Amino acid sequence: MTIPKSAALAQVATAALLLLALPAAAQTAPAAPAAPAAAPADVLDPDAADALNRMGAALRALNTFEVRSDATVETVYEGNHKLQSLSRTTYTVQRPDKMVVDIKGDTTHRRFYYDGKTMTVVGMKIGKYVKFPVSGTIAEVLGRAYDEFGIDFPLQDLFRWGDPSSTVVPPVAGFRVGDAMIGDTKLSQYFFRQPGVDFQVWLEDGTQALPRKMVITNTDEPAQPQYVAYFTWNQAPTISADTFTFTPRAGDQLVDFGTAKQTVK
Amino acid sequence: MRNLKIMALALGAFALAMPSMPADAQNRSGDKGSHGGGGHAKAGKPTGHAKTSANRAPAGNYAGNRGGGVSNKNAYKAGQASSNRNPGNNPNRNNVNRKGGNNVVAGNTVVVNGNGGRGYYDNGRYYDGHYDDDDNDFLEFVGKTAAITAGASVVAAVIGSSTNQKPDGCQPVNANGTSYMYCNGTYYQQSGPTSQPTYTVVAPPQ
Repeated sequence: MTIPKSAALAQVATAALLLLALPAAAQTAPAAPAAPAAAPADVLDPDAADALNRMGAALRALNTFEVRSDATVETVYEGNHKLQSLSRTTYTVQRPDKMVVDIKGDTTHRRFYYDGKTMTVVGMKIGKYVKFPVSGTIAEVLGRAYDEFGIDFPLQDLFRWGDPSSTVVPPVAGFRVGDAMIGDTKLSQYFFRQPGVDFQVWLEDGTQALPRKMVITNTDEPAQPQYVAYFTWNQAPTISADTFTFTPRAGDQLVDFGTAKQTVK
Repeated sequence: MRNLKIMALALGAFALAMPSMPADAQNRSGDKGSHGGGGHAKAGKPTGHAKTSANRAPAGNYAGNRGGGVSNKNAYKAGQASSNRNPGNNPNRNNVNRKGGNNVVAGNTVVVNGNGGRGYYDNGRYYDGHYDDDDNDFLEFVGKTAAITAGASVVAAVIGSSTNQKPDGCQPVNANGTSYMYCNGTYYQQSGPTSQPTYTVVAPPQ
């Protein structure tokens, strides 16, 4: 997916946008109209649009890779308690249509194997698994898994931006927030807004604009719960003949759909 | 090979990065109700959560998408059967499949065994006494997938789950001397105080 430059309707100078984004500037502004500083216009800054394109290009260039996301996930409970939980997701991918996804949280551990024709879903703690046929590119399968089976894979953006066949609507607004560092790596932080979602990405400066951190804010919910993920990339993972095939452990049971419909105990 | 009729069934989405149980951390220290007036802080049911993708694929945009797939996102609600089903006109009402090992009720719905009877099911999440056990969540997913591949249009409920909300479209049924409520394809038994009854999904009476 590429964001056409024409989509960036920059009528406000980038500098002004950045100025509005800095709270300190508002306080030191000279005597100005009584109205508070206006919110930044919903503008997709061309620099930010370009950053998304560079990120998409960097993701598309990866053919065999592993990305691990260590995330905190917020969930809002009754009483407006917003609690965090931890989640580690590892995607091991061989384009166009092989992947294994391991998702481990505080209370769950699931693994999904996709080899181009079958998806195997394993409940690692319960020791049961199911298989069903599905095909397509990884981006397609992630979407199909949601539509047809209600499986909501995290971080689908990494594959949608990275997949030339997928269509991503450009954000309605975006700007570069500023410089950042994770460890010794220099990054640039960007903010984007879409209906229902604000997201921020921290991209490596340099030739390969891989995301190292991403924050997704759910703006459909009043409490605005967030998903905050740090990424670790391995561009030369060890792949073997059975990386994308599930080998059942002793005691793992295949749940045949016939037996899933069992008589009541 | 069974003729797969895939129904789009994103029911409260099986959200993988989410905790599958309420993080009832404060509950673990016990129910010490000594804080007075209004009780103790406790995480109840989830009311909202983070999105783990900014862009999820839109529905039905794929080559080979099976035509006629019905998006039935709201269908799987224990105790609240799909509102567009008319219980009086349900032609399969008496067509309980009694074959051994087969739990298909009403012809095209599947009632799936949950893991024990102490749980509470609501809108895509199964709450059980085991806070660190995601078996139920997985079994539920399996049940839904089973239903989908069997061509079921709706997964009615998980046996053993209960709700305080009276299901829609209930008719009283008396079988073998026991009273049940038959609501849109699912059998319930009512229990608890009449001021706050509990409706528990049970197996169809034999």
